[in-house]
Amino acid sequence: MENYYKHLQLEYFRKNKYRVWIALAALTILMIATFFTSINLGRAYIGPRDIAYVILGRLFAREDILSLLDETTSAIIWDIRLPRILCAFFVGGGLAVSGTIFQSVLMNPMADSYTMGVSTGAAFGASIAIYLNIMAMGFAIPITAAAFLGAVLTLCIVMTLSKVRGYLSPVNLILSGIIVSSILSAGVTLIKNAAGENVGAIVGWMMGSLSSSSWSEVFLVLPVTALGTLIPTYFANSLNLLSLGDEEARFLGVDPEKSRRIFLTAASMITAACVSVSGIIGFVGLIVPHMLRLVLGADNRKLIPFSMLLGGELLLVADTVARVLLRMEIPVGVITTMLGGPFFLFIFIRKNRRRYV
Amino acid sequence: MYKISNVNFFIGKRLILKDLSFSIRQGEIFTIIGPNGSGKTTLLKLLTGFYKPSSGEILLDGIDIRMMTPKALSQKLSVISQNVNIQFPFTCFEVVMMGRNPKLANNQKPSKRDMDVVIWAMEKTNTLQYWDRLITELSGGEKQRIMLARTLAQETPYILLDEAFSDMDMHYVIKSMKLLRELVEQKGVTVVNIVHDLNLVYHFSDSVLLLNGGKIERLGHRVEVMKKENIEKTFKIRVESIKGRGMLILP
Repeated sequence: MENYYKHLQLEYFRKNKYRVWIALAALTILMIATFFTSINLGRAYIGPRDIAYVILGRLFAREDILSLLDETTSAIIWDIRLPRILCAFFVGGGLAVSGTIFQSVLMNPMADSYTMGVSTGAAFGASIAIYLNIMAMGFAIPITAAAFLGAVLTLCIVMTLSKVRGYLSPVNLILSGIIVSSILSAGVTLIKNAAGENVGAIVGWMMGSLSSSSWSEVFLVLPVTALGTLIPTYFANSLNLLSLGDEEARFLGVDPEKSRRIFLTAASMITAACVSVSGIIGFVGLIVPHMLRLVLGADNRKLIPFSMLLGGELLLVADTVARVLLRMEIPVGVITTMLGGPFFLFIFIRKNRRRYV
Repeated sequence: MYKISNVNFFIGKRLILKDLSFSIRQGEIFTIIGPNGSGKTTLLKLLTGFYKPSSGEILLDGIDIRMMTPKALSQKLSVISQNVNIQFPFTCFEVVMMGRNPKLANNQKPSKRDMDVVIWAMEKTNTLQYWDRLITELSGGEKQRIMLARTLAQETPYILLDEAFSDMDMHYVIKSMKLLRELVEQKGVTVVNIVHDLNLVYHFSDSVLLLNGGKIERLGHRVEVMKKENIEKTFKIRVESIKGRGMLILP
């Protein structure tokens, strides 16, 4: 019997480690391949050697390496494709991480940043900014900042509304999220209506695209996403317990109020940064955690960092397809939703078959 | 030891529990019975510290339960509440290992001893063969055995159960009850238990609290409380008392 236990312990850890390492290796190889392919693809041909030269030259400020290339190629790589690729990666990763966190905190595998109204808040902020800019007030309001502000304000409103006697419940969060989200959607429609002929600018922004990504967008989304992934990963064990509900979390030694605040803030900040950079990109936040749970299980210590990697990878692929597939660019939000929707249905059906009713 | 003094509990304007005062001794099985809506679950949630009493106080080993942090409480008492619904595909092993959380610092790796305790708990509840299965794919009774294993793994001096065996078959109900008795006798654990099956209450309790309409109807030794007239009056049923053997419920 003693031997059986030893065997079991070893088996358990070996199996889990295997899966984690295989998944990590596969994702890393895939990421490197996608990264180079994505820089390579596009209207102008760019070889792998050019890419290496530009990156090395810029990172170490070596003029002698840079001078090996002509300036147009250098500019296409450094000023256009590289920031867009980084944006795609971090926006995708960020949306996936926030989806994983929202699902666990709200105890609902169907939740994502839309459930809490945070994304709609960002869209509302952006719409107002675009509208005011069209009306030409003499100065331009930065759309990104407005979207960010909209998202953060919405989070504050939703969290205040869900409080009953100082107590925050997942059901309340979902309900008030949906209510606030509907009100804000109506607001967006109103602004679109008021914009008249210029409605295209708002619609275009909301469709979800990474085509306007530059280094300033990278510098917004990268630090927020990185911090928003690292901090929750560090506390991921409490998130596991929180995903069983307030009572269970408490009985197992976690203060549900305190830890929920950490996770909701992190996930909402990520969402705000992502939406403000790229507009509305659906389904990444919903699907990635589900895909990962099939392979790695429900442990958030693994799920959160892997969400970052897989989400980033998926959006990078989708954005590259959006960029090069047709002669004109397709909004990447359309691609993620059109591919993600059916895939999600597949997971949904599969899961229902395996469950006791 | 639990000391409950003058506890009232309101939800909105409705008084759920009225002026309760009693104590629970160390090392006994204390069973709470009563009709639906009599306040059993509310009382248990007050004892776990999840609800705060509207007035009065609850002392756990002399400390006001409101003053204790979740971490400190989770080292004192383990709880199985009604209808626990886990949404995410944790393995059974992971769920039982969560019972060790109160003893571990954030991100601390489980030691050899933690592993041994988890395996012991799963063996005691006959769930070790499920260790790799997902909690979302188990049946109700199997899930409850996993929850019991998690409670054992928590190694607390108090165990609070709210109809924790309701979905198990009779074999496992009796096995689990005997297991609790064993813990009480060998480790001096205190068990507070909500049970509906009057026969089980008779056989596996020391003290019984009969609750009705948020008030104490009867409290005392099981034989004193589980009398024909008390049960018939409170539950509005007919029973036949079999001397030393429990109770037969007549339709």
